[in-house]
Amino acid sequence: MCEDCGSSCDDNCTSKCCQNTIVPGIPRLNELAPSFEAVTTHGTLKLADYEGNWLILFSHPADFTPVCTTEFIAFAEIFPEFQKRGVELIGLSIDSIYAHIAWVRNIEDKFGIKIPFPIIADLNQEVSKAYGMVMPSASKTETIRCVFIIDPKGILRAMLYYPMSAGRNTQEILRLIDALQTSDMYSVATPANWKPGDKVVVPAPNTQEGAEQRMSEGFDYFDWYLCKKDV
Amino acid sequence: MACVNADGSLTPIAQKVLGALEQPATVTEINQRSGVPLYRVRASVRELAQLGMLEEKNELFCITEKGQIHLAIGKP
Repeated sequence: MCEDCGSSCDDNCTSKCCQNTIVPGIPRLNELAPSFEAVTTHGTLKLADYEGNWLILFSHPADFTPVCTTEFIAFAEIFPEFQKRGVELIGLSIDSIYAHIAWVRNIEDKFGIKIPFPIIADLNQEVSKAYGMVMPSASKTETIRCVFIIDPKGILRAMLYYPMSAGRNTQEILRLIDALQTSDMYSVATPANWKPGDKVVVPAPNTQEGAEQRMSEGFDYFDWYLCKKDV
Repeated sequence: MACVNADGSLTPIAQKVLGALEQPATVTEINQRSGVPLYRVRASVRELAQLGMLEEKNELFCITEKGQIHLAIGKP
């Protein structure tokens, strides 16, 4: 429902008032990530091209801006660690392909860092709207700092939304990848501030009998609902 | 285009992808033979197929005569 005119609208509504008031929805965890085909600095790419790999799709507000530049340098520096984990990266902003090319060349020229991953030129906002990357109260023409972690089957596994003013922590994104991959491999969960090598959380039993047996199962036992183990 | 330069020659990525097709191969095999990331292999075979430089049969990609000609020209 349009807040200005009161008419019933959907995501495809093009009336002027609705463009200012309708906020596209954001994708949901554990559902298929929205598919896309987009022009990038590595040519035209589809989400399906990443099948079999983990993918981090992340957006930034604009090329040639200071915080975004520090983020791209940080993502490029940590890229080999993502590669070791079978993770690809793809950036996105509502800029032209020529702006992207000029910016990555500038980063290489000024900082000596080559950006090894593609960047989507989302001038028509097709991808950013599908992923809810534009928050009109922050900016109607720029994406905020989003991170979407998509697994090898194309399922959206994690989302982070950061404001314009705060650059992201790439070590935390790497830690999140490690946590997701560990959870998948061992059918466990990871506790607060977990890092690789730490003990993991054993899923709590969901029957009374299971709860009674839990103490004798050899885990680090705090209570029936909180047990840890090494993996 | 990601596979063809402005002068019509093949880009290094396209050369690697076509160069990995001495035998018909899946995208995974092309990835393993060429070292080109899997997502770029998929994007490249799509573009090279549109250009008539390779063909797909039962998920196996084969280089065409046109592809072989361009690969030969593209080599230094």
